[in-house]
Order: sequence, then C-alpha cells, then structure tokens
Amino acid sequence: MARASQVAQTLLAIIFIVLALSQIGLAVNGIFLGSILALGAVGITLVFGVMRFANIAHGDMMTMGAYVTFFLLVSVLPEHTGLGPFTFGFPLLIALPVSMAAVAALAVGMDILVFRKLRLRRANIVTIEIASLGVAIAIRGFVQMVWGTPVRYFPNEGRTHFSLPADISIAPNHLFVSGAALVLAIALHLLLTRTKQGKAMRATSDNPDLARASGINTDRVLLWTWAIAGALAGAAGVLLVIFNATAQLKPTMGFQLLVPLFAAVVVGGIGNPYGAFLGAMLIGISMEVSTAWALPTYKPAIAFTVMVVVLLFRPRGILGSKG
Amino acid sequence: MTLLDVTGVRAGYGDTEILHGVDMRVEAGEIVTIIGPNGSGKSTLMKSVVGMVEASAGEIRFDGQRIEGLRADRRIPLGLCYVPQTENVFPTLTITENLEMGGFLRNDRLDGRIRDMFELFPDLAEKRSARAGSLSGGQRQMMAVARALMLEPKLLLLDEPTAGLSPMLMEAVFRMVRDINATGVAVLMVEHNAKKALSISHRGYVLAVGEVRMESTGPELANDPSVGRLYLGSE
Repeated sequence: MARASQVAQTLLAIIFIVLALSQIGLAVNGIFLGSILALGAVGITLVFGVMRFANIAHGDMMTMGAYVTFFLLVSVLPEHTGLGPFTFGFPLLIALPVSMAAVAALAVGMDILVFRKLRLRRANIVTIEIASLGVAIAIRGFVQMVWGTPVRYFPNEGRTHFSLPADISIAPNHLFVSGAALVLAIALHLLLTRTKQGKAMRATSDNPDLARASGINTDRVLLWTWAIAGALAGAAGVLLVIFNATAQLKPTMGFQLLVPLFAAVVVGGIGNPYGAFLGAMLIGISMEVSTAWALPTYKPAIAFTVMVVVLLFRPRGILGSKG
Repeated sequence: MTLLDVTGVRAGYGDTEILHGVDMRVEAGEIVTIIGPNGSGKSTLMKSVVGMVEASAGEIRFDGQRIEGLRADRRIPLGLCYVPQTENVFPTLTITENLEMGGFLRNDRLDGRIRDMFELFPDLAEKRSARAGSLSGGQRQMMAVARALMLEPKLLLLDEPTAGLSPMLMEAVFRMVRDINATGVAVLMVEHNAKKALSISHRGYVLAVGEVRMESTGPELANDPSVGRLYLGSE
C-alpha cells in the first residue's frame, strides 16, 4: 500500500513536470504568479501557526497594500514612469516599503481591535473565522469608499518583453516581481532561523503553552506575527498590480485570490512557511499551465483540484508534520 | 528558607473545581514528590504553581513574593521552571534552538549555558542540529529538562518525568534528578513511580480528590503500607 502510494506520487510529480515543460512559457508565468501567492500564503500560514485560524481578511489586506501604493504614486510622490526596463517609475520603490509598513500596522490594529478581544473571551473558531470575514468586508468597504469601485491603474508606460529561446517571453516587471518576492522570502527565512524573535515565533507555533512556560511573551509574538504577515501581504498586493500588464487595481483583487492562497497553504502543510512557499509555486504553475487547455476562469477550480489530489496522498500537505 | 509556599489553593477548569484548598511547601534545596491516584489534581497543582491554571482562591508565594496573580511568562523569571508531562519540547526546532528558547529570558550569551547542558546530557550534544521531534522518548525527556534548566532556576517542576520510559531510563531520570538537586536546585515532582521517587525525596505529599491527605518525609511515605493500599491501589 505504501509502495503503491509512492509510485502514484512519483507518477503525479512526473505528469506535473511534463505538463509544465510542455507549456514552458506558461510555466514560467506560473512561477511569477506563484511568487506573489507565496507572499500571501506564507503570511496566512504564519498567522495560522500562532493563532490557529485561517485569516479570511488576508486577501483584502493585499488589496489595501495595492491601494496605499496607488495613493502614494498618484497623490504624494513625484510623477515618474519607465524606470529602466520596467513600466513603473522609481516612486514605486519608495511606495512599496511604505505600503508594507501601512498594512503591517493595519494587521496589528486588526488584532488589537478585534481578534485579541475574541481571544480574551475564548471565542470559538467559528466566531473568529466569521469575524475575520467581517474584517475582510470592512477593509474592502473602506477601499470602495475612498477610491471607488471602478478599475484604477498605477501610472505606467508600455515596455517590450524580453524574448528568450523556446518561445518564452518575459515581461521585465515579472522579473521585478519574482526578485522582490525572493528577497522577502530570504529575509523571512533569516528572521525565522537566525533571530531570537523569529525562533520565538516558531516556538509559539509549535507549542504555545511551553513557549509561555519558557518565559516567552506570546502576546507580543502574536503582534510580531501579524506585523510580518501584514507586511508580506502589502508587498504581495503591490506586486500583484505590476504583475498585471496594464497595472490595474480593483477593490476585489485580493479577495479573488483567497481560493488559490488557501489552496497553497493547505497543499504545503498548514502552519509551515516553507510548505506555503512550495505550495504557492505548485498552485501558481498549475493555474497558469492549465490555461493552455482550460478557460482562465477555471483557474481557482484548478487550484482546488491540485489541492485535493495532493491531500489524497499527503493528508497533511507536502511538508506538513504537525498532528 | 521556604522557596514555594502554597496555602489554601483552589483551582480547576471552567466550573469544575479540582483542587479544594491545598497547602504545601518546598524548602530551598529540597526534592519534594507529590503522589496520588489519577484525577487527584497533581498536575493541576503543578499548573497552578506555574500559572497555566488560574487559582480561584488561596495564596502562592515564591521566594516570599506572591505570584498567584501573575501571568505564566512573568513567573518564570523569578526562578521556577516547568517541564510538562507531554508536549514538553518544541518538535520542529532543533535541540540547540530548544535550549535557546529555554534561555529566552537570559540577556547574556547563551553559549556557555548550552555547553553546560551538553556536558550534562551528552546524548543531546550529538544531535544538536536534529529536530527535537526526532528524539526518542528518553532523549526527549532529557531535552525537556535541559530546556527548563537553561534559566538556572531555583525550583524545577517535573510532571511525571518517567512516564512511558523503560526501567533503565527511569533509573537514569531519577539519577538526573538527584544530580540536578545536588547543584542546589530544588525539585518538585509529580510521579506515578511512587516508591522510587519518594525514596530519593526529602519530603512527600499524598494528594487525593484535590486535597492533601498525608505529608511526611520521603522514605517514611515510601515505606508506609497504608499509602500504597489507600492511594496507589497497589501492594
């Protein structure tokens, strides 16, 4: 039985690789989409690790990051587009970290105003989930109130794609997207493995009672976790805009990504940030490659199908170990 | 000098009271063992001392200071460290990282203390980069105790340190408890393996239905036939 399952898993992996290679151009695109999903999914999984609930507001936190950057680019920072090969200008490099900080602050605020109160009342998981849905709707409502429902655009300038052999063409923006995501992922890895605060986050995720019995202030760890997850979500939102060829924003952009985000989290093994990264890549590539045969509107369905198939063989996800 | 002084403590979970007014104490440098049948409240007593269960009445003093109102992470720095019976390591962290978390509250460099722990537990030194979740039962228990010793506590609380271990490993654990005690650390433990634990203890308490029923020196309780008959359901 175990042998059969291993054979099946190997076969699935081979099928995945063959399909991806047969549509290499789409697969490359999938890596770029995957790196955005990764930033969101890692945040969701970190929050889940220490708080044991799936934050439905995460998609809208991404939206918020995008709109903060939009506000800065249009109303605060000098006008400039077409930095090097990119469609955006240098102001984006300033707006990106500011948006990350803003969404980090939003996430901490959410915890203090909503989730901490529920924790103190020992609210059950359903109540907390519904509260996070409420927060999601509130954030989206705020965005619609301030910036309206029509589609908006980052100031941008048309740019030609880089063409590579094997019919691969890469938009320069996409390289920026994956580069930024990679830098953030490495920074997070170093934080989690090299700093005292990061190790305390992992310890709290492993065993909150023992963390408290070691003198770790787990309330502070929660706030740190929210801040980091928020910063990553903010970055993901901005990158999602410049990933799009016309750099468009709309109030539902983050919420629409929730299905692939949760699929990535579950596929990787809930609570494991490395798993979330891997899961996001798998889901991102699958979604893009599927468009060779299926309508793009089926992308979320593809994400869920991949999740179901992975769970059939690995019920705790690819890197899941916790019971 | 009295290190830990528990008076009239009532505690429980939700509406269920498990401890109905417990008095007990640990003097500096002592080994004290609490025995009693299942459900007598031994673990609850430990948890109310470290702050993982709130005491609804009574007083807990540590080193002369009242601590019953403090959060768990505020009690630890005073010098009491706790090893739960199960789930007592961080499974996805390495051995070294587990020790670092044990020493979370120390502001100095931890290397020296970690080296001390590896000397005390050579098995752990060999596996320092392995995840704690991969350790065997006995090693995991050593890991859990080493983590708790990182802060150089005055009082070490052990909840059934020999549960699930082979007789040989049990011996090793009791030897370790004595070694730790010899360095001046007081130990309060809950044990199922009553006779053996009491024989190395200075004093012991018999807990039943949330109350202290007997209190005496360790060897005396160990040899008291009524203890076994009445409270441990053996001999």
